[in-house]
Amino acid sequence: METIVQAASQIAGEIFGNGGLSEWLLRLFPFFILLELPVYLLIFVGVLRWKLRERHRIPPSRLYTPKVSCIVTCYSEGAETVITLKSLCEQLYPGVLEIIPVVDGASINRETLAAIEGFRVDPHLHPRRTIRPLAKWQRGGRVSSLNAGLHHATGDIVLALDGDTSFDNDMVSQIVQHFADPNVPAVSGNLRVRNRNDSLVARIQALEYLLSIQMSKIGLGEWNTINNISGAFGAFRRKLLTRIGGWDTHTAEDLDITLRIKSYYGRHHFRIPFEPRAIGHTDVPTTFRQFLMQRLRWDGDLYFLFVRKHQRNLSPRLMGWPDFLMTLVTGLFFQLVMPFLIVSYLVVGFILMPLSTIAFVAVLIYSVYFAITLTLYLACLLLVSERPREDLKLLPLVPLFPVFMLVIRCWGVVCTLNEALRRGHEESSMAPWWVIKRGKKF
Amino acid sequence: MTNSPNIAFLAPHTTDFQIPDGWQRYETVAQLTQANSDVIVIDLPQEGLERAIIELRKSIYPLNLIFSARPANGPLFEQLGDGMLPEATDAVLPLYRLWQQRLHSFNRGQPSTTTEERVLAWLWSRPRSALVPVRAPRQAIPYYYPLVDVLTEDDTINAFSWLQLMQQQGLFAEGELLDRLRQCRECSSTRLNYIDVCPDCQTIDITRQPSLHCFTCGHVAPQESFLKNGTLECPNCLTRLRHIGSDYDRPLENLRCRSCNAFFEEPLVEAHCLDCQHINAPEDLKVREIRRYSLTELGRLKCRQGLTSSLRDDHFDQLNLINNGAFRTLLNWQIQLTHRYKSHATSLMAIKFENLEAAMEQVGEAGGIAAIDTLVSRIREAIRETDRCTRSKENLLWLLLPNTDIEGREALRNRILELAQLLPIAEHSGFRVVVDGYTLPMEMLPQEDAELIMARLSGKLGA
Repeated sequence: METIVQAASQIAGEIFGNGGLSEWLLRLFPFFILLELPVYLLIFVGVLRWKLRERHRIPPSRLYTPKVSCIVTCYSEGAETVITLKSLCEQLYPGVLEIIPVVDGASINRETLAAIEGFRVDPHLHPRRTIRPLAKWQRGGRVSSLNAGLHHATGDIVLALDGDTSFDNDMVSQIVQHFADPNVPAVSGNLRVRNRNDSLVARIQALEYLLSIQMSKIGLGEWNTINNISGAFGAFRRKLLTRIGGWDTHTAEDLDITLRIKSYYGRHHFRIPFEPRAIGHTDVPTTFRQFLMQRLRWDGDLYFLFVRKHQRNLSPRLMGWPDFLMTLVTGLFFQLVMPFLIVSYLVVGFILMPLSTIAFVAVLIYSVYFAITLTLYLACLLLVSERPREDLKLLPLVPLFPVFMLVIRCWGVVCTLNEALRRGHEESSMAPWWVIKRGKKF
Repeated sequence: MTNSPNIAFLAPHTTDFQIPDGWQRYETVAQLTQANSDVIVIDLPQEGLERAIIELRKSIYPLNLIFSARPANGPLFEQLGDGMLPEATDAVLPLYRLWQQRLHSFNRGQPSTTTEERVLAWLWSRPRSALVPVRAPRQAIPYYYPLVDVLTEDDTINAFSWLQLMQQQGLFAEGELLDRLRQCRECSSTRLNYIDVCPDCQTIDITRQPSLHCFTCGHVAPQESFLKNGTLECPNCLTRLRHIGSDYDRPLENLRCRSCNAFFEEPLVEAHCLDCQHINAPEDLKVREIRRYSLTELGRLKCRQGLTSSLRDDHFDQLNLINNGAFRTLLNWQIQLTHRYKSHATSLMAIKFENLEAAMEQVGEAGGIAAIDTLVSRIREAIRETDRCTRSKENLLWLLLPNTDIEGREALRNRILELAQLLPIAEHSGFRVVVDGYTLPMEMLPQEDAELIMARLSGKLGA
């Protein structure tokens, strides 16, 4: 790395002469990139390690087939829920699958309820698949749906799924095999973007899911430092779920439950793996405005959970050192601090630097991020992707991706400030206000 | 006519029932069938009651009144018995009288021996009664008509065909439809097993076979051929099929015969008779409607006038009755004559016997019939040889009187009314003879024909 920096410095020196400003900038330049690079390296090595293990993997055992309950939280998805239910019935998993679609606010979401009630499982075509719909007449939010489903679930393994997410037919087999290890309390599933062809915003999110979620989770999962079990697709051991009291109210119940499980890492040899082969296909926002609003919620919730709710949980004694450090770096620093650094750098840079310098530094930074993106993308295509043909179509978006990430980082500042100053999580659309109001204040 | 009937009381064990004086007590049905009773009262629990009543009906008491001393219900007793014994035991007497009178007037007092006669006699002797089917779920045909069964002298008769015959003859009217049965063509059993079989080899060993359709290459094959190591892979293009709807779907669900390996979409359905094992095609099954049956107007008329005689032999036949159609033709002809020859006068007269049925019940069938006979013979004396008569209803008589003007018509009307006054039954309330007439061409309206005139007249009479 140093040689690259030195080389760049030489080139820059040749361009700008021995101006102190450019040298100062170059000293500043690697500052946050250098912090990110080791993490990217760790992820990359993790992916390689996963690939090596993968090559010698024994196919999923057909002997370990516990009963699985799928809680599908539904709201206003309407007939789309049927695709989800159908994809669950189609699972090739040889064990028993109990599908529990929970309709939140069933009295207003009649269409969704009717679609679910009209759905029939053909016992001849799909043996060992049962469907037990729950209608929650009063709206109570996603947490109440999950807990209601958990109360009725009888399977050893509980899958928390979204009504707008459908699944590959080997999803359950792939995800369940991890639970054969008694030290696995939960498994994170892999999400792909279903509506990637709807708009440019959806397409670039497809790439983001591929690189930032899929690749980084494989890497982090290898070192047992997974950052989050997605709300749209996670698997849990039911015994553990009921023991920790199910999902907790407030927003971002997925990160919340991940952090709560992680706080046992210090005392137990728990392991939360990521299963890239257990694939769910979900819908993402298709307009830029919708996208920004979604991130406002997601990134704001990070601040709420890390800084407000789980401040005391973030200790090496509870989480164990590796996960504590990783959460500190990837969760707190990258997500909450880095955006401020980047924005400050941008602002200061624009004030202090001449335009040509800005252009040079921008090209330089862009090149670095582009190289990282391209490497990750190619690695994903060659090592990970199960649909390489489809993912190859995202190649034209790779040059755009660093810019997209910069926008996200800048928006992250707004998100964090919105939560820090305005308590944005209390405006969440994930639960009605009368529920959020009663939740404990942090 | 016996004044006091022999009443038998059947109760095998000690009974709390206070047996009135004059009643004969019997302990078994066998004893009772040796005796000669007119009315039977049974004091037995439901099951015993039903058994006893079947035995009695099959014995020498096919038509007699049989009451239960205990509250009894059930379709069998409702059909074969005459209900609960009235609380005042004296009330049995008028019931018996009525029954006796009606039976006496049945078929001109001839004894009933054939199934037809007995069933008609039963329905005649009990107005408002009907033949009601009773369910017998364990039988091959899950319905039977207990009354037809017990009143049949031999068991060879098929109640269903017999009822159909009676209905075709116009004696029985179809009542409420209670059920519809599908029966085996061979043995008429309704115990059928509807089973789906292979259309090629007719074996029952068929199974549903889900098929998959690979979107990548369009290959369609049974699901088994796609399964490989717990995943789905197209056997044709080797594509991994991961997601329903985007990689593959289930285009059809065919059936496969495990015996001849035939692939088919719709199985053949056969109705296998569980009794005779005959294999029926569902569309070839016999369809039987299960209904209630009651006496028709014609049936009642025949009961009154004798089963062997035809309609023309009734009391009114002495009036040289012609049929309705002929009567109307004649009337139309007369109308045309009066149009052509203005001086030609013709009269039409309608005679209605009001409450004839009720009056006859009051005076007894025989008395009523005698009175009508008298009236008819007097009318015959009053009219001319050239007059024509017809009857459109049982109680509505029509006279066509050629060459009769209004005065002549009125004279005849007065005489008939006088004659009616002389009838012995006229004293009883209800019975009345109403006469109205119509004379051509004076009262004729333009465009009127026989049909309209007769309708207008019967409307005036309230018939």
